[in-house]
Amino acid sequence: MRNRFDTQLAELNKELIAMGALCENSIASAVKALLSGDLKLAQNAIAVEGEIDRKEREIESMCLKLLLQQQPVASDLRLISSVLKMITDIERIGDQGSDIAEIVSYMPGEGVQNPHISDMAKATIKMVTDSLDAFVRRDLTLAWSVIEYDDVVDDLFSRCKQDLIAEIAADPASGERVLDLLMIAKYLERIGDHATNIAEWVEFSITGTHKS
Amino acid sequence: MRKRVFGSICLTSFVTLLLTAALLMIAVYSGMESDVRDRLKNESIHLVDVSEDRTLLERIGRSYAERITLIAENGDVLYDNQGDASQMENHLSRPEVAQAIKTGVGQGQRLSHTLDRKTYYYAVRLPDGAVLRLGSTADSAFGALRTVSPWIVLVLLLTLLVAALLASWLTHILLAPIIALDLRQPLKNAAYDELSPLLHRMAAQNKKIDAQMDELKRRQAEFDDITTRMDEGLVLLSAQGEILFANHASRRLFPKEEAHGTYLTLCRDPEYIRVVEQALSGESTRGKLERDGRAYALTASSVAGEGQGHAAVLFIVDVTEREQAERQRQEFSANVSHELKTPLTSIMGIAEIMENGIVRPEDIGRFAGSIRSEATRLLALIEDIIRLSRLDEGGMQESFEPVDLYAVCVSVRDRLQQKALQNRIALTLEGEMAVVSGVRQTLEQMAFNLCDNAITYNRPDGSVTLFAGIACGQPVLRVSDTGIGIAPADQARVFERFYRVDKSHAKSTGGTGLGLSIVKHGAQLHGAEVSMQSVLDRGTTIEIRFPKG
Repeated sequence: MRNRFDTQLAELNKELIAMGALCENSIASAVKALLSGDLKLAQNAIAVEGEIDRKEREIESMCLKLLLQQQPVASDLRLISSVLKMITDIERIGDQGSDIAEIVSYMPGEGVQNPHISDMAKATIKMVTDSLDAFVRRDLTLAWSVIEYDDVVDDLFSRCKQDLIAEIAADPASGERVLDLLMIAKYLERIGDHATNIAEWVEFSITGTHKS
Repeated sequence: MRKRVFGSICLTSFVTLLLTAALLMIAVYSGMESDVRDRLKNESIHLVDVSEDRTLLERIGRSYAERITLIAENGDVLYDNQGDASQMENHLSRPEVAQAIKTGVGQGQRLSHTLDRKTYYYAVRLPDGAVLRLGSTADSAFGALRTVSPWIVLVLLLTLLVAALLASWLTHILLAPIIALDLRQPLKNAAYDELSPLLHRMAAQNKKIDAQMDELKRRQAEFDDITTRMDEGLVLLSAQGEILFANHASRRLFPKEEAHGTYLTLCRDPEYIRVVEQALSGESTRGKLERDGRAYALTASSVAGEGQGHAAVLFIVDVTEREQAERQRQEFSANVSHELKTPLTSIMGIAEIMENGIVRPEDIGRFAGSIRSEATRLLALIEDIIRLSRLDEGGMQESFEPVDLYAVCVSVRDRLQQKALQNRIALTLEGEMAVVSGVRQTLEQMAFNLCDNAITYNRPDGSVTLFAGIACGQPVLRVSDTGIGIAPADQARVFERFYRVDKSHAKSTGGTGLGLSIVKHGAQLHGAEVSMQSVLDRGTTIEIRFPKG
């Protein structure tokens, strides 16, 4: 019985990492599409979203089944409950990735040159990757560094905003494009927040205490 | 062991005890029976004498231990010393009485089941026809057994106790040498002789196991050695996707990896996941992984396991250089065809004009000159390409000879002096004799190309300095100019084939775009290092440092 439980936990672990990988793939594609203007990548990011949703439901039912059938305690219970919370955040990241891709696919042009937006995109991808790595390796320090890194993304977001204000002041005709970029920046900032949430749940699954 | 010994001791003593008791009882009992019979017989002889006198008989009977019964001829009981004669039934049917009436003497015995007692009877016919019967009651065999059974049980318990003590003592004594056996060195033990075949066998097996262990260790070490040294990453995955083994190179590639985990803990690249999952589902595949700016080829082979599912072997090869070389080759062939085509197109165009008779006779010389210069360029290009491909092929080491770099530079200076004068460049040569081992023609070509470039990409009234000599113990060839210089972004690329800093001037300055490439490859052939310092609008210095000796 225990043996089976361990297998199920390992399976859950694997599935969560797979879901994280999909989500990473989604935002990486969306960001590449944003920076290069490659619409095929944007399509890819949008296509992955459905798969992420499916994975979320799958993992959710796995978690519930484990909770009901095995009555886990202590660290196992923490792991399962934090997984249950994390998938919501991962799914939201996937959603926002596909939202960015959608905006990109309506945006004309070669891709975005604004250095702050590309920095921000790289920073958020790093946060997502690190938060998942923290889960994979049960790395508390990495989880903390992700939580701290959120400030960097927030800072970049405010700089982005300054850039965009300057841009719209210089050329009011580019208003629509600037607003799109603002949305994208906001989505990226939200992705950073979700990555922070994931890192916090990783911390909870290890230590048993949650920041909130 | 102890239990076994205890059991056998118990069983033995138990059986012995029972047998002894049974035999003893049989012997004692049969002796006792004949005793009783004899006694009754003797007593009856005495009693027959007194039986005529009833009162005497009754008097004796009152204190007599045995039972005395006087039975009339018709079977009625006349007297009984242990019961009321009048109450008793007719005794004629009793076997001993019947026998006595018939033959004068009768014997009988009866068992009382309720009391487990046995009564022996002896009957004698009296002269008057009546029968005198004596009866003696003794314990039956079972009754006797019942009397002694507590003793038997006691003895049995004692036996058990003794057996237990004996068993523990015996096993201790017997086992001590066996326990003391040193199983690592079975033959050095002085235990029972009976054990020696076992010990010999054990020694042989120990030897075999040691040999096998050594073999296994050696193989493992060999395997580890190979996998550690190889540059390719090797990862073995179980059917469940767990990492069974990951070699040194793969650990370098995936530094975040843990000792235990599934393939997903290594990397989450979508292409990687696709390749591994396909291999785990039983289909060998290939894929590509980009990581930290380097390209890796993934080869995942599926291994059919014994149970369900497939294990996988993942092979990771760094193909960055290969891809780069591939790209360069493609670029080169594209460039070669383009560069060859350009002069030919001009020649064709001029020839066509001349063919159509459009050209005035006095211009023919000029046009022919153009054809000649284009053809010269084409020839130079082809020569350069041949030189380069020869350098690419390698295998020129056999034509190595001692070459004086200074002498090479002297000849190069003489060849280029005219061009330098035309371009108003001061060409100077410095240095001393510096002998290197190399191919004279190639070295001359290298020096010529460098010097030619220095003159071509210079400004009027500039200067070019050739230096050949020994610096820091190494032969050095150095060409410095005061020319236009090369921007830092281009510095790394000027050695590439057909790369030109200023593409628009390519034609006017001549050259094939292969000069520096030949220098680089020539230096590689001689094991020399090429270094470049250049400042835009100030000049360039290119130095070739040859190996010592």
